Amino acid sequence: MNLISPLIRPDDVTIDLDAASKKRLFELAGQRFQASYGISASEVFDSLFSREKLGSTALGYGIAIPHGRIKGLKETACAFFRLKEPIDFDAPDNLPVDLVFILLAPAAATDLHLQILGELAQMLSDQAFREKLRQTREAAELHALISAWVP
Amino acid sequence: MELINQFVLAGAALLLLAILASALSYRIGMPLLLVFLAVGMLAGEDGPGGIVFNDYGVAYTVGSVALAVILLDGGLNTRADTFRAGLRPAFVLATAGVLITCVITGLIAAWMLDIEPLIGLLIGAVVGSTDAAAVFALLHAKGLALKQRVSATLEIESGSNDPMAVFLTIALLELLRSGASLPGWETLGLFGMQMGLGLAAGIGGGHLLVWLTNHLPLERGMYPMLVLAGGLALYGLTTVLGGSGFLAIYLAGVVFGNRKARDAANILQVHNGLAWLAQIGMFLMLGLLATPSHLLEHAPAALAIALALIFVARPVAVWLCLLPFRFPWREQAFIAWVGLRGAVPIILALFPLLAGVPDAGLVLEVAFFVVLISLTVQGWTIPPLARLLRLEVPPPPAADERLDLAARMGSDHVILGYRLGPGAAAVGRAAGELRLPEEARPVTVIRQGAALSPEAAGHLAADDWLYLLARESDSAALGDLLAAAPAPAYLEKRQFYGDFVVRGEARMGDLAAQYGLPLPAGLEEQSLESFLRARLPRLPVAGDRHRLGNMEFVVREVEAGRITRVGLRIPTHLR
Repeated sequence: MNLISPLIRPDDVTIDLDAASKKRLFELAGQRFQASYGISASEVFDSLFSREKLGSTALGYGIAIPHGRIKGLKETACAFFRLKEPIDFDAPDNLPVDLVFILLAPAAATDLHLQILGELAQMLSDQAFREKLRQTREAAELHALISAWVP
Repeated sequence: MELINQFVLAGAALLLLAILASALSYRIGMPLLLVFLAVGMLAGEDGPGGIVFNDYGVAYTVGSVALAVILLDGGLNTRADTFRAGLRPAFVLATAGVLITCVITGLIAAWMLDIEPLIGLLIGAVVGSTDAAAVFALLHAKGLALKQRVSATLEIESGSNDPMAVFLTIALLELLRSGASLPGWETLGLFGMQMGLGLAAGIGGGHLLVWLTNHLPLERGMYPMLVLAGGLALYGLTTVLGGSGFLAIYLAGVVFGNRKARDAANILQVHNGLAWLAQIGMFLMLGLLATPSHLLEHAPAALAIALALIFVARPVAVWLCLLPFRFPWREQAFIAWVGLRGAVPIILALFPLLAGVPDAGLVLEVAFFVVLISLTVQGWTIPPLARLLRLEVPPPPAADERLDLAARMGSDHVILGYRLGPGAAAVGRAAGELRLPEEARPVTVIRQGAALSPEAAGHLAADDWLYLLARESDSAALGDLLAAAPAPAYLEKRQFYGDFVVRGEARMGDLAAQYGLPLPAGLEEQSLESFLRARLPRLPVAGDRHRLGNMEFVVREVEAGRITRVGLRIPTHLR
């Protein structure tokens, strides 16, 4: 059991997403959140983009965890994307990114948000786990992997 | 003839023994210099070796030359960018700090030994400076990377505080000789002369040496020797003229090491070797010179003096000197503890002997004792203490091999070789796929003894050697990408700096809103850099941290004095 599994639904996992740039990725993510959570796509885009301005959310090793806050959101929403082609993300190690976990939190601050971010980072910095995420064929399997991960 | 050959044999055997014993020091963590000193003492008159050596003149000459060589090498290894963080605190420590240490230790020594205050002060002066050899050996030891403010301060201090101790010793000897009890104007003039001449000769001579190296067509092996001969000539000339030769040769090394000189890597390598030889030679000789059985006579008092120096005089001096610089207490404690004494006290203790001062034998014995205790107690405990005080930073991932191009003057291109570890980020990718810094490009991949072109090598595998042509300034970025992290888990970059990286110019208000941080009112418009600057020591360095609510900001990169990148660490989460 981890902090992420209650948040992520099977629908939130997408594989082989075709996005040529960070900007395009955030647009697609916005559409996805609009469809599944009813959050305005442009609000998602703006929120994620303004966070990137503070510094890239790429961790290195091909991983990024873009995150932001959305006014009026009731509960934390998330989405996981595996990209078809890695994209430039201004990562600390210069490597392009192909695994992207997006996290949107309500505007009211709670410590839980920080905890979730920390746990996500910990999960994705495990090399063996990353490789599994990259090799899995089905989105459903990927969802199961993430849900079953233990810190 | 037979005697000379035996002499060579004994010398070589001792040298070999010391080098072999140094391997042991890595195993048991015993300070290297103590190993050499111990080998010398075992070979000496009280040990199984039974060699009788008590020629103070020879000891003084060899010791001074060896120290000069060590200081030259220390200077060559001192990077100018470390000056930013350490120069001013180190300067205060190297002058006022030595004086304070000398007075406190001296008065305690006079009281403990029941001797004239001036002789007591002489003891204080002799043991007043930290040892460059010991501190350099420690700071450049493999696997120990300290926060730059701490390492720079210690390094520059130890390289430049010997002149002050020399000066105090000479001034006190003058006073003892003339029978006066208070220093006069000439003493101050003497000090100005020592420092001024040392400074001028060092900086001027360093530039001259660079010019000579770059303009004289010599055999390749001659350049390191040119630097050695030039440095020693500077040392000798400055000393003859009445300046501080130690300061001069150290500064000449610093100037040379930071200018683009021909064949710099080779020169540095040869000098690192020479410095080792000098350290071994010097400490072996000092070990031979010591007569442990004589040391026992004043042992309790000498032990008390050593402890007073370590636990009272040095901490007080460090605390007073660093007051204006806002060093965190952990760093002050560490700097106080790295008051390593080494060869200089013993060499300085020979001054009174050669000058024929009464009680000079006592001064030498106490100096020996202080050095032994300091090397044992402090030298042994420094790496664990650095860990305990959390002053280590992730070591910069260095290339396994580097080759300066001969056309290096005017450019900074090097060929860097990396042995890819199983954890390196590049493993499993083709060399052409790596996002390398602008001008860097792969040259060859060596796999199982065969040199492949980067294209032919395909996906990189663990144990491949990847060679790149790159700019020197890109080596840090390349290291992150290619070198496997050799660091223990607690120094792993993610653990140390946290997961996310933000820019120094990020607005505090945005950060606080994003992460729910309790930002005091009115600071929303401040940049992260100015927020941290107001809360960190005056000159921030990588590894400085400040906690706000449940988030820890860790300075990750400082460029030209500005905080450019800051790590965000969630302390409740990372172990």
